[in-house]
Amino acid sequence: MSRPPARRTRRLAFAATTALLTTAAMAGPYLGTSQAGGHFDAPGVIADPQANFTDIYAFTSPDNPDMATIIADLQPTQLPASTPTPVNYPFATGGARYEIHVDGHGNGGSDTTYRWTFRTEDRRLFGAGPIAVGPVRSLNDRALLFRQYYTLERIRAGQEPEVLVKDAPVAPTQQSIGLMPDYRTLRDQATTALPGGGRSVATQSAESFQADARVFGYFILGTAGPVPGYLPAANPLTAVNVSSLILQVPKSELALKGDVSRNPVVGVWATMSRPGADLAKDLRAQDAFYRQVGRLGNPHIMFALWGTFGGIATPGGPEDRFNARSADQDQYDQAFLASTLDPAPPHKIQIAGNFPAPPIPRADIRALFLGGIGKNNGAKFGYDLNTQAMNADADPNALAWADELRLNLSTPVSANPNRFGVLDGDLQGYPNGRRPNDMIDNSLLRMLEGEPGGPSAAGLLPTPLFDLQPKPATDTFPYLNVPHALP
Amino acid sequence: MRRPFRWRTARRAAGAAALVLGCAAGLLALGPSGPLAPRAADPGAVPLPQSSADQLQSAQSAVRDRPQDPYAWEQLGMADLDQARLALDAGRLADADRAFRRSLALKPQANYGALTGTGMLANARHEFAAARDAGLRATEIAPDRAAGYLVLADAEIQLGDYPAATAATQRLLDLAPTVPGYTRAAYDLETHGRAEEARIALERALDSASTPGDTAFCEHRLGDLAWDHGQLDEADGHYQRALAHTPDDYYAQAGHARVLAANGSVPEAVADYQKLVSRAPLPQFLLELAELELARQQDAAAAGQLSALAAEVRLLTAGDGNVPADPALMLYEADHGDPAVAVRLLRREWNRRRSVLVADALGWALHRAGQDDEALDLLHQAAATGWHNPLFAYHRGAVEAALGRPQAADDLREALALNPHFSPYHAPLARQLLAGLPAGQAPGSRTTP
Repeated sequence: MSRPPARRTRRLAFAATTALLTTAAMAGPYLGTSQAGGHFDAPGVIADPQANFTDIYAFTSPDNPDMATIIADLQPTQLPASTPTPVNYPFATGGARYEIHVDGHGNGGSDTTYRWTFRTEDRRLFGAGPIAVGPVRSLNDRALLFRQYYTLERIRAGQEPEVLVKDAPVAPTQQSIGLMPDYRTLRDQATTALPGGGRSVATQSAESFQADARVFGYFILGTAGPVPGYLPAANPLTAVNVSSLILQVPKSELALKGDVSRNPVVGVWATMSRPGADLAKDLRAQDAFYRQVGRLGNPHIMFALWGTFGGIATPGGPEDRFNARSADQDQYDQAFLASTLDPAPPHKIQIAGNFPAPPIPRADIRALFLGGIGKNNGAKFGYDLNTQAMNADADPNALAWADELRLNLSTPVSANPNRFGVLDGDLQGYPNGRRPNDMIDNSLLRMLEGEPGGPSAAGLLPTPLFDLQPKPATDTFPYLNVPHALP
Repeated sequence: MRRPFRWRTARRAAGAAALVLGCAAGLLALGPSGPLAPRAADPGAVPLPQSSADQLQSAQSAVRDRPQDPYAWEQLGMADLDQARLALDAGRLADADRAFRRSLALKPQANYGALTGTGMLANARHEFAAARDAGLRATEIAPDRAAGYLVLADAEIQLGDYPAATAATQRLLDLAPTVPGYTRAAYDLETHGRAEEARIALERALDSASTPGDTAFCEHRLGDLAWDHGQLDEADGHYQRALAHTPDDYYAQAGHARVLAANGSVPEAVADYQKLVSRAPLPQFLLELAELELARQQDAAAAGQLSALAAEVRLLTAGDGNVPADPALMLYEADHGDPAVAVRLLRREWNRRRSVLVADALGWALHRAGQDDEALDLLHQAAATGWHNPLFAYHRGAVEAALGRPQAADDLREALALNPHFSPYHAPLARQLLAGLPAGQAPGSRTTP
C-alpha cells in the first residue's frame, strides 16, 4: 500500500514540474509526438564507425615471401581502456559483411573476395556493462563475458562462397593491463589457420599509421601548418587502437589463374556492406540484399584529391558517392575521374606560395590511384611496376580505371625497407602495395607535386627535429603491435 | 627555383592562409577525435561515438577556440540537438538554433551540415513544413548524402504525405542501413500496420547500434511495439535492457511504469511515473500518470498532473497561434479539459498537416465535443494507413457506438485484443461500452464495408 505523499512534497514537486513545463513551452514544443508508438525522435547521427576503414595494407610477408598479407584497419581512434573505464569496440554483426577484394584483371571487378561475418555471444546481464569481470588469460576464460566469432568465406567470381573457417574466435577489445595482462596470448589463440595455407585473425591492434601532420596542413591549407592537435611530424595516433582484420594467404591464391609469374599484379580494396531492405516488399519474405557503406583502397585518396574530409567535403561532389560505389563503377563517375586529373592540393600549395602546381591534366595521378604504375598509362616512373597490364592473362582492352591498392607479388622483399617507398628507390614500398611502416602521406604529397616527372617537393618536408610516431610494426605475423592499455 | 616563387607570393598568401587555417583548425581540433579527423576515408563518418555530454563539451570548447569556424558551430548545434533529444531538454533547442544560425552566417552557401541541422531542429519543434523545405533543399544539393533524407522522412511522415515519407525513408535506408535508417523504416512500417516487419527493422537497427543511447532507443521502441500488441513481458524486457544501457532513457522509464501498472503493481508504477515527470514533464507522461491515478479513483493525486497539463495548454493558447499542438496534449484537453479548445487547436494543426495522429486526436476531440459525424470521418482518415493502434481502434469504436454503428463492437474488440491494457483509464471504458452494446452485434457482424 502506498501512502499519499505529504502535501508539502507534492506542492514542491508540482512547482518544479510547472517550472520545467514553462521552460519547455517557451523553448517550443517538445521532441516527439508524445503518443506511445508515435514519437519519432529517432537518432540523427549518420556516422557508422564500424564501417569506417582507416587503412589497408598489402605486402609480401617478410617472414614468408611465398605469402602475401592484407590488413584492413577500421574503427579508428579507439581509446585505450583502463579497469575503471572499460570500453568495447566490437566488429559489426547482424549480417554485416567485411570484405577484401582482389582484382587480377584490372577491370575493377573482384576476382576473389574474402568475406568476414561476425556474431556475438554476450553473457552480460541485459547486454550492458564491462565485458570482463576478472583477469582474462584465455579466450575461454569465464571472466570474458562478451565474445565474438567470425566465419570467413572465399568467393571466386561467379562461384558459390566457400567457407574457409567457421566460428573462429575474435581477440576481444583489450580491457586493461590488469584484466588482460597478456594480450599477445589472446591474439595468438585467436589466430586461425586457413585450409590451403595461410591464417587470419580479427583483433584489436595498436594504431600503426605513420603520420606527418605537416602533410595534412599542405593537403587542407596549402601550408605546413601548424595543424592544431598535432606537433610537427608527431601524431597523437601513438596512443590509440584500431580493429584489424589480418589475412595471410599464399600468393598463388591471390594471383590471376593462380599464376604469380604470369600474373604478378593484384589490386586490393576493402568494403563493408550492411543488409538493406526494400520497404515495398514484405521484410519477412525478401532476400537480404546488401548496401555498401564503407570502402577503402588507396590510402587518403579523398584527402589527396580534394584536401577535404568530414564536414568540409563539397555537398553533391564526388566524395558523396565514393563509399557506396563499387570499384568497377569508378570508371563511369566523370567528376571523380576529373578530380584525379586535377587534384586540389597542388593548387592550394601554389596559392599559399609554397610550390608551383604541375600542369594539368595529371594523368600521373590518375594512374597512381586508378591504374597502377605502368610505362604507358600516364605514370611518370618510366617502368612497369604494378599495373594489371603486366598480367599476361588480363585482357588489355578490358582494363578500367578503378581505385585499388595495387601490389606486384613478385617484387622481392627489401632487405632495408625505406619508409618513403618507391620514390626513394625501395620498390617494395608504397605505392607498390603498402607496408605498415610506410609513410604514405609524404610520398603522396611529393607525387601530387609532380614527382618523379618534375622537381622534387621533398623540401616541403624537411626532416623534423622531433618525430614521435607509433612503435614500428614488426616483421612477423601479425605484424601490428598489441593494443595500448592502461592499468 | 622554389625560393623566388615562394617570395613572390608569400605576402598575398599569408593572409589567405591565416584565414583558411582558422577554418581548418576547427576541422582538426574538434575534441578528442578532432586531430584524427583526416584519418577517416568516409566523408560522412568522422568522429567516434562519444557520450553525448562529451560531444557537447568538446563542441563547446571548439567554438570558444575558433568562433569564426562554421563547421565548429554546426557541430555544436548537432551536439545540442542530440543532448536535447536524449535528455528531453528543450532548452537545448534554442542553443542549437543559435549555433546553426551562426554557422550559416559564417558560411551561407553549401553549408550542408547547418542546413540539415536546421531541418532536424524544425522537426524537433514540430515545424514540419519548414523541416520539409530544409530536407528538400539538402537532398537537392547533395542527393547522395543520408542526412537530408532523414530530415525529409521525419517531416513527411508527420505532415501526412505517406508516399513521400516512405520514399525518403527508403533512400535514407539505402544510404545508411543503420540506426537512423532502420528506426525510421520501423516507424514507417508500423504506421502502415506492418508491425512484425517493424520489429525486424528495429532488430536490425539494434544490430548496428554502437552507442548506449542508440541501443536504448532501439530497445524502448521494441518495447513500445510489443506493448501496443499486448506483449507485456516482452515489452518490459526491452525497457529493462534500454535502462541497462541508458538509465536516463525516459521513454523506457515510462514504458516500465506502464507495464508495472498493467501487472497490478500500481503504487510502484505511480512512484516511477512521479520520478519521471519531475524530470521530463512530457504531456504523454503526465497524461499517463494522471489517467492511472484517475483509474484508481485518486482524483486528488491526479490533480497535480492535470494542472500541469492545463498550464501547458494555456501557454499554447496564449501563444501567437503558430505554435504546433501536440496530439497527446490535445487528448488531455479533449478528455479532461475543454473539448472545444482541443477541437480549435487541432483544426489549426490539421490545416497544417494531415498526419493520422492529428486525425485521430481531432476525431476524438470532436467526439468529446459532441460532433460525432465529423469525428467518425476523421477517425476513418486516421485508419487510412492501416496502423494497428489500440488507441485509434478504441476511439473509432467509441464514436461508432455513440452513432449506433454496427462496427463499434469489432473496433472496440480490436483495441482490447491488441492490448487489453492499452490505457488504465480508457480500457475499462472500452469494456463497459462493449458490454453495453445491443446484442446481435456479434464478432464479425460488420454490415457495411
